[in-house]
Amino acid sequence: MSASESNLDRVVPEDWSVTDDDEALAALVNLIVVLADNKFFLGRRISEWLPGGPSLESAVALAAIAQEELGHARALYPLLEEMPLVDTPGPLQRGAERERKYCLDCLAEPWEWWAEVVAALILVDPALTILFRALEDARYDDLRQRAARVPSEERFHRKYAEGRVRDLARTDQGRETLQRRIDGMLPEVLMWFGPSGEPGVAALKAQGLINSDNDEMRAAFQTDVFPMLEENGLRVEVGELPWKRWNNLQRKVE
Amino acid sequence: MTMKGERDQEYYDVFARRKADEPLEHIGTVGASDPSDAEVFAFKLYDQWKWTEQFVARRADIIEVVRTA
Repeated sequence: MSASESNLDRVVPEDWSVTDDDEALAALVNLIVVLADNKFFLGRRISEWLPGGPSLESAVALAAIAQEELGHARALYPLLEEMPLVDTPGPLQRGAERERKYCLDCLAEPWEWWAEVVAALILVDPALTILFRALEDARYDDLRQRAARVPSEERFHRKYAEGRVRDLARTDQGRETLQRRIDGMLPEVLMWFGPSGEPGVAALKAQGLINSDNDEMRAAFQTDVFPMLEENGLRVEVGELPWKRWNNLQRKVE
Repeated sequence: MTMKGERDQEYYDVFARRKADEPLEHIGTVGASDPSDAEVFAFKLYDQWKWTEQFVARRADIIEVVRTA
């Protein structure tokens, strides 16, 4: 996570016992707003596709998934108010409350294709879950408790996503359509875990606020997701990642 | 809106009970392409109670013993 907001002013440090390390604190603020904004915009983008669900059952399940993603965001935003800093980013309710968003570029605009919904469900959602799992031992009780409920709810999101991948991948046309969306999203999702040895993540790990480093989380994601995609005839070849276009603060490719 | 590519669907019957000492009830059906989808759809569609147990069974696998009318 980025520590580049460390110029934020500390307030009431005596009420704050999670960390006294400025770099870890800045990275923690960034971690929370990044997780919350990505959950918010994932839920928002999914919700825009509810009328287009393939069947009643699928539409209802998709609505529940959107609701849960937005719920995860709502559970995280109040933590920003606990931070002993002034000017932390505020919560999003409609999406336009602040200029700077901390979400992946692939979530920033409405999706035009159903395959984009499916690609995000099988790439973005599991990536977020990997990071939530990395918080399960965090010394910060409020964050650990909120993070702990996410993976169990995500179990059904994942099953839903895998079903929709199987739907599309059963025909050459559907598989190629999905492949194009995966090719477009995958590099950014892999980069979202951050460059190797990112100072903010190292500070969080040193302070017991996260249990994995950038490469460990990226590897866990690949182990989790790639076999399922390959079983369905989808390619997951990744070339050199475009780190020069990486925005470390907002954690997105520009 | 674009191609969703859904596979052929079958009916699955959904059964659940609220408490361990209550009988299993038939609470509805879902259409799904495979058992995994049926599990997700049943869980999300029939969430009116906090069930202690919920099952799906492919209707084609249920053996009809008696049928009147």
